[in-house]
Amino acid sequence: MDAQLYETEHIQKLITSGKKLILAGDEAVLKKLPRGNWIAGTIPYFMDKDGGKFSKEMIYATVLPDYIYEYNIVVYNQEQLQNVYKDAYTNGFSVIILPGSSDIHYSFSLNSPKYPNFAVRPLVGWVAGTDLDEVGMKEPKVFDGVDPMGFEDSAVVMHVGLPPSKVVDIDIVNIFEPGDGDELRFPVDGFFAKDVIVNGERKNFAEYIRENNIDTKLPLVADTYGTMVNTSFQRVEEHRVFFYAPVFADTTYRIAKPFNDYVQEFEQMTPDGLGEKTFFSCNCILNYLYAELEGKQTIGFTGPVTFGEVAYQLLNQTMVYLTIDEN
Amino acid sequence: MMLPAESHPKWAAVITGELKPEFKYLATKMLLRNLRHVYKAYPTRERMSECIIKLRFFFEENSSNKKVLSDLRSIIKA
Repeated sequence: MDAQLYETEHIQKLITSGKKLILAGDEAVLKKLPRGNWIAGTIPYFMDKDGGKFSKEMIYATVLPDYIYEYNIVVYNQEQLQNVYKDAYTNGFSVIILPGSSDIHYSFSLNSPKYPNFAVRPLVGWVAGTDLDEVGMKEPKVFDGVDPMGFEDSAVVMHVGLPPSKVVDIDIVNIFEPGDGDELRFPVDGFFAKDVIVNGERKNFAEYIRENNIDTKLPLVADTYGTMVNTSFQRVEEHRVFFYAPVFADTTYRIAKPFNDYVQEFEQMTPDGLGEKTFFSCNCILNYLYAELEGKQTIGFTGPVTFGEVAYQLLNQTMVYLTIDEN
Repeated sequence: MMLPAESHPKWAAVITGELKPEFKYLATKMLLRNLRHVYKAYPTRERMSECIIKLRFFFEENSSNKKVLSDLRSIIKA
């Protein structure tokens, strides 16, 4: 895996030497980069080789291997984004970066499972963010390596074609599993919920959370054919509860079991032998904050710390990774 | 490995959730989660037919991926 935090000068050299790059960094440093074959999103939080790190000066770079067959960088607006799966190469993968809290972020979150050819090709990526002290004051941005101003309401995607000898796999590491509490279902899809069906009985979700002293640092978890998929809490208002990703009707959720030591549980859940096969990974800002990952290592996995993760669709509080292997 | 025809009963059984085999590939899980959601929202024969076409297309397009083939075997043998 050729990916780590670099000084800006080194990134500039990589770009001018023609390398194809997926970048993450603060807006000010990304805007200084020369034009080239790169995409980027804003974020100043990273998991690097020596642990979690905050930096507004350094840039995290994932360098595409020289054996790639072809590539194509596309900037999608909300309407065009439904083609993201159709535009992917037959053998390869696509990396998407979405600006956090934008209309296209919310649209992708709700609608990506309805896009033509959903999940037929590997799609991985992340949601760009800002310094947490600047949320609401500065907008997250994405860049396509051409426009130095960046985009606040478009998604950038790098479609990558691989030789037939290579095979791609996307998977997740999620330390959360459903707790043994109530079964929760929601009447409608959405980023917020007024009502919840608790073990078959309709209740106000905000009141339910308060009455049961639920720790909203723990996500809602749905068992998806043995893979646990999280939906994280954003805030609880008087009568409504807001999430970082949508909840879906017809899905059964439970509040996650509490964890003791994120890093220890992460290591136990990480498959052996991924090592050099891992091309890209990213982890959630909520894991970074709640598990206090600054200065701590998550063995073998580095990358941007994100405001949302994409493994075919939007995920929360999850570490996502993509491996390239021999077929 | 031959891909079963759209009329093969296992396709519908896995979409409705009557069959719940174990899968290895994340995309198989995500796609089936979505297809089940779509079908349950409007459970008609036409909707099932659309879901089967999407599921079968996924396996057809990823026929050289060993994990996907393993998932296909899990459906057929379930």
